[in-house]
Amino acid sequence: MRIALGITSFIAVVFILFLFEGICFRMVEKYSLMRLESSWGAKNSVDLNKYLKLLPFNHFQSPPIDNSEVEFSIFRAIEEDKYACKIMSFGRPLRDQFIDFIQDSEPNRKSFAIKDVKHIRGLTLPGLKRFPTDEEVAKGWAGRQRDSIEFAHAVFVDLKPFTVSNTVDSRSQYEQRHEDYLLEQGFACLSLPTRSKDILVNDLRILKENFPAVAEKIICRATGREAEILLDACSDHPFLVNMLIVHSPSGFSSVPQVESPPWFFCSVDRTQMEDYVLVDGLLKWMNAVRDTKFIYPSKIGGLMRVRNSYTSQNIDTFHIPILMQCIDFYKKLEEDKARSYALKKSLVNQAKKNVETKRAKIDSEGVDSLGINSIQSELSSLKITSNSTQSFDCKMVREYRDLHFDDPGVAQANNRDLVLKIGLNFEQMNPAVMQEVKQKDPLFFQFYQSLKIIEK
Amino acid sequence: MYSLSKAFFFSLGTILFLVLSLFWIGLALDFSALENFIVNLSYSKFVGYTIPQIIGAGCEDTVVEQVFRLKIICTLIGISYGSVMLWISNLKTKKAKLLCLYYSIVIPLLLVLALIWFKIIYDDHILSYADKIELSQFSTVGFIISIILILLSVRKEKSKLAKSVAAKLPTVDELKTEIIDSSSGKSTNVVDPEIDKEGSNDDNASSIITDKKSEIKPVEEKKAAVSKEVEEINPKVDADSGPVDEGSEIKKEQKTDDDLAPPALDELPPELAELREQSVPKEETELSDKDEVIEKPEEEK
Repeated sequence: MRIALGITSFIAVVFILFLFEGICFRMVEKYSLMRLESSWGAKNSVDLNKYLKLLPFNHFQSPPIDNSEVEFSIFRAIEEDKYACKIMSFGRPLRDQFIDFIQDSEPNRKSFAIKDVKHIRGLTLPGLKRFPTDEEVAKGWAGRQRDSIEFAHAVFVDLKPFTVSNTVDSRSQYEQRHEDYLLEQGFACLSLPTRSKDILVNDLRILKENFPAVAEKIICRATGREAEILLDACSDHPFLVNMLIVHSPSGFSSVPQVESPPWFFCSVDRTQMEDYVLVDGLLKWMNAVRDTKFIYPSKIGGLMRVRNSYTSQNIDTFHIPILMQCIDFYKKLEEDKARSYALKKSLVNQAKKNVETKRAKIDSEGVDSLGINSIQSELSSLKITSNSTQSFDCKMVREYRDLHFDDPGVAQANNRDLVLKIGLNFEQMNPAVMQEVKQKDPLFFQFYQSLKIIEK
Repeated sequence: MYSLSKAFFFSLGTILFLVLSLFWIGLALDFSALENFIVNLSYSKFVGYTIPQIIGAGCEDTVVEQVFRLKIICTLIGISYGSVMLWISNLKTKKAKLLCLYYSIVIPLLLVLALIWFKIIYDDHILSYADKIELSQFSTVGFIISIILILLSVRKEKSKLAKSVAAKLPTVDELKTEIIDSSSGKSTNVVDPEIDKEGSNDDNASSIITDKKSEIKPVEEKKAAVSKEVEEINPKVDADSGPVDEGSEIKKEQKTDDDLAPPALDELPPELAELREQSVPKEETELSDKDEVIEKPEEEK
């Protein structure tokens, strides 16, 4: 009797603890994020927590298995919907806050600065300011380090049909409050009418040029026809945008063939599920994003929800936690990049300083064989470090780097590897393309041919 | 004898079953008010869920399916509580009845609480501020009710003796000391306290009491001998008088069980009285006179 009573009380205690933990995870944002980071590690981590992995947490849910049969895309989409619900369970407290903000009957709207750039009107800035980094000064974003620059965590671009008047008054309360929420979180917001891929790409480039610190990261949201335009634009320019949110797209484009495409969240209507070519195309986008070594994008970089009358309201809040995680992920990568830039710069400066001091010493004291040797070794080391970045430098590689400046894989790769990779891609496309490239950038063609021979 | 609680629980169970049958008759006869009530109930929300969703309906179920599910659940609840009430009414003790009543409330309440919380924990469901308040109120009230009922069910019943009486009862230590004293031959408090009290006040009276004590013993011995003789005679009388009345036999058993004194001489039938007179020696008569003498001081008191 006593043993039975002991076992029952033990089970009851475990049950209560389990329930309490679940309630904390569901209700407390800080705890849910803490549990997420404990399970997945830092934002740029590549390994899961090996101890917590043993526990039945939603964070360790494996994504649905890819099925090559297009006909099974519908079932896969339903599985993806379930997977998205489970893997994003950590975002529910934040979504609760967001829905409270949206439904606030007496909102206290703050005033934000609104700026126009050329024909783009109504870019609302969150009013954040900071001092620029060395790299930003080098890029010309600020004249000097003491000049503060206006920045935002990202720009949220809401794509609208070109015909509809996009005045502030014509927008629904949801859209207005959505914008307010993002502004309070430090995001700039823009409602951008668009009618073609080229116009969209052009507008986004204008944003990046004119507000580099604000539009460093861009998140685009679109529905229907605009969603198709957005997918088309990102297919050709995958590093222009950091995250895509598409609702019920009317069509899709091919997945960009890059190492780390932008994060992707899509929702499809229940009625659209019959169009399994579209569903399959969207699933391919998701797979492409998830195909990375980093844990965060591999888990939540590509997600899909199926929209119906009941889930519709839930899906309208679903992008908020993904968006936050996406921005945090890119910020972390940038931090690493900035750190390596600063380190590299300091190393080069130090080496140059050493050479100069030794030269000055020799000039004053006279020529010494030992001194000459040491200077030679210093110069050679300096040459090696500069060679790693300057060798195989050509127009094509520079353009490729400019185009993919957000891609950490490209930033870390040296010119030699890039020449080989780009040349191989051109060859795979069409032999005629290589001839065009030869005419456009003969140096690149020469590099590629010689490297190909060496590789062989 | 009918108990009030039995009547109450029995009628409650019966009413539940009657309501259930009327409910289904009403639905069969298309009572629009009842139908509207059920439909409104299926649309009403609790912590952001509709009532049928809480009891397991899918988000894509039609209204008809949700209403049917609601009817089935109402019926099941009615049947189960009706059965529980009837069962409680058949329980014998009041304590068991209350215990079953408490648990029939606590267990479903805790189950519903756990069901709702697990649903909220595992569903992709967004709670607004109003929903959270609703949930916290429901959880708090449910939890408090459960705790109160559990405490009531585990409570021990207190003795109903008056405080004055309870205070006079000897404690365990007192009883122990008395037993030890009695085994060692000391005088105990078992003796009539009134006699003791008076003995302390009046020396004469105490001397009389000591005489009385010394005389009581032989009288009791004699009485026991007489009762034995009477018992020996009684079976003979019973055999002569034919079948014995059951009531008188029960009385006899009760008397033997309780170790009562033998019947008085006046109560004996005349034949037995004669026999007794013959058998009783002269000493007995002398003793009876002495008894009267001993009883005199008591009467004087």
